[in-house]
Amino acid sequence: MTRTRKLFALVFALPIALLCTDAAIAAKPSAATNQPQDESAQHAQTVTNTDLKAKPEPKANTLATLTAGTALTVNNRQGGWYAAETALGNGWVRLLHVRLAGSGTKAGKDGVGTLITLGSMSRTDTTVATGIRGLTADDLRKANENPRELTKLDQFAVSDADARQFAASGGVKQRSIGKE
Amino acid sequence: MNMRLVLLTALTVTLVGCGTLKGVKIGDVSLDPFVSAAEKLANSGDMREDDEIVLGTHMAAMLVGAAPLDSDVGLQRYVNQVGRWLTLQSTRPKLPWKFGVLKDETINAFAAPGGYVFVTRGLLRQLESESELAGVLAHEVQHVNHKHHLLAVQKNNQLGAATDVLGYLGERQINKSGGQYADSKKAVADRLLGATKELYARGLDKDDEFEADQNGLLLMARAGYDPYAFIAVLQKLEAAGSNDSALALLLQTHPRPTDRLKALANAPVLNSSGPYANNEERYRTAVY
Repeated sequence: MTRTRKLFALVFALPIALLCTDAAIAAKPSAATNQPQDESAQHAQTVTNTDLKAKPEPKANTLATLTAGTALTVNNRQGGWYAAETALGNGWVRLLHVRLAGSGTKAGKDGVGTLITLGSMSRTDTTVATGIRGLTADDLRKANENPRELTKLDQFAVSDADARQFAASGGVKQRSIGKE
Repeated sequence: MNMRLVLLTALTVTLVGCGTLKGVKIGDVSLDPFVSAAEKLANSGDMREDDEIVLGTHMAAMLVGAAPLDSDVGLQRYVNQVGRWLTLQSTRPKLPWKFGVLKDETINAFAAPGGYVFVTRGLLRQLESESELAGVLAHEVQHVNHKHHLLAVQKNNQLGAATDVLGYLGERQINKSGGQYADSKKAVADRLLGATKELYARGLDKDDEFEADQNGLLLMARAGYDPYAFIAVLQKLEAAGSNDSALALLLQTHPRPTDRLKALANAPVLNSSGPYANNEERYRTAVY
């Protein structure tokens, strides 16, 4: 039995894994394309009436108007927009106008609300039963101070200059906006 | 009759008989600055920044006592780089900011006074870009800058009763007694740590969370990170929902993601044009 499973893993899973890797690489960065990509596709639905736009810009051509509760698949995010595949075509929808599937809301047109196993964040009920073992409220209540562990943080700390250099090398620039 | 007076009397009576401890220590840290800071906190006296740091250090030591630090030094430094860059744009750039990744597979993040910020390894696995990480860190940084934890502990009456003993006796008298009242100092420390543990287990007030969301969004944008990345994080939390055991503690201690999204929907910073960074590649390299 176990042997059969291993065999399956070798014969089927490996080529599939390789195929997926290829697909992921092929689908990678083409920054500002209008076509939604398959990478990190996620089922979602609109939470309000919203326009499907040709580009991720408010002034772009409106391709269709989606009514609240429309099922769609979202892919890449660009600023405040998700690339979206809908029954009325592909385009861009506002981030704040959609809800990702699995949030326990009423089912959309395609029963989107019933999908709870989509996306990297979702887990099935079986997983909940066994669960991820980790930090609970009780662990915090019972915790004892560990000053020695805390001193390890010193070796990770970075200087202001290092942080500035890090930001610059990643194209991260200070913006002067808003007041706290 | 005044409840605090009763407690005060009871504690004092208890303490007079015993107490031969001298120089009570927690680990390698002397208790006195801690007790003095706790006293100021409880009596809402003006806390100096170093008092705040002393209290925060004990709270942070408690957090890493609950979950140790991840051993990936490269990852730890990466999180510190993003965090330090954020705090340079914040209202308190001079705090000794320290960021840490906890070796824990649940999805969560914590802050402690004086500049301590922690994220779990489990959270990092769910994020997809440096800007998403920046959004989470900025939220925690704002808890620190707005002293949410300190103010929450200050509201705790238990702490007040314990520090009253010290206030009543006076620091000089305690020192002169040659350790006779060391127990009362320990009592203050224990009360404060107890209040701290309960605070992390129960979470801050909802309003503090909403405030950290609003100001965190602004901070990340000021630092040049796409503020919509934080919206995307909240959407992921919303989608994962309450039947995800890895999210149990986070959801118990925070307002519903749906409500947090609603509260941020009209944030002016979401209409700013940037350009902003997301840095997916750099994030993947550091985390995976």
